[in-house]
Amino acid sequence: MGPASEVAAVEVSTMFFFITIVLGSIWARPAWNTWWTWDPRLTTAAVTELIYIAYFMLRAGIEDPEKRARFGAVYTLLGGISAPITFMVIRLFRTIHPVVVGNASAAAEGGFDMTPNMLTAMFVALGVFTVLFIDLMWHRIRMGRLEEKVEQLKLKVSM
Amino acid sequence: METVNTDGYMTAGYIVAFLVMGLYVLSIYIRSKNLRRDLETLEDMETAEKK
Repeated sequence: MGPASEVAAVEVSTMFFFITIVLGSIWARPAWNTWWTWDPRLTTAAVTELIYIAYFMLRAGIEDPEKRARFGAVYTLLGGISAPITFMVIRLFRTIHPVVVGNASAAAEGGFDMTPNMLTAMFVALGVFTVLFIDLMWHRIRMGRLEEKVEQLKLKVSM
Repeated sequence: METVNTDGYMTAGYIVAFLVMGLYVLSIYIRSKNLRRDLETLEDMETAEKK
């Protein structure tokens, strides 16, 4: 795994997570009668997206490729912690967000079990989006390698 | 109990998902095209320097 794979993973995740937040907001409107509320799940999701965006700002701010790769790797490892926190937060705090997977939290007010039809739809969607993620990441990695090649050539030509 | 019609929200969800993914794919295409052009130019410059 090089910087190209790292950037690809964060970029595709940022795009998918943005869709998740917007779609969650669209779901919340008829379900909660509001587009947005500072519920623990929504707050941690927004923070996670901001952490992802900040990764690109960090990379853009460092010119030395080696330093950029090292700082980027450390940031990605630390930033990655926000994903399990976002997953667990509705199980740890009182929230209006439903706990759909592993519904065992008494604190979650909107908990519900999925019907067989919903389960089928969820697994089909999970499969489709996994394939999409892998495909987009593959294309982004190829682009990243091209970026690295251009950057190296630029340094070579300018010397 | 009356069921609320949420078709509009579902359509909005599909539009957002396809639009964002489409824009991302387009951005990858454009950026890759520009990078290939840059690479060609830089390779030409490198060859010219060697001569």
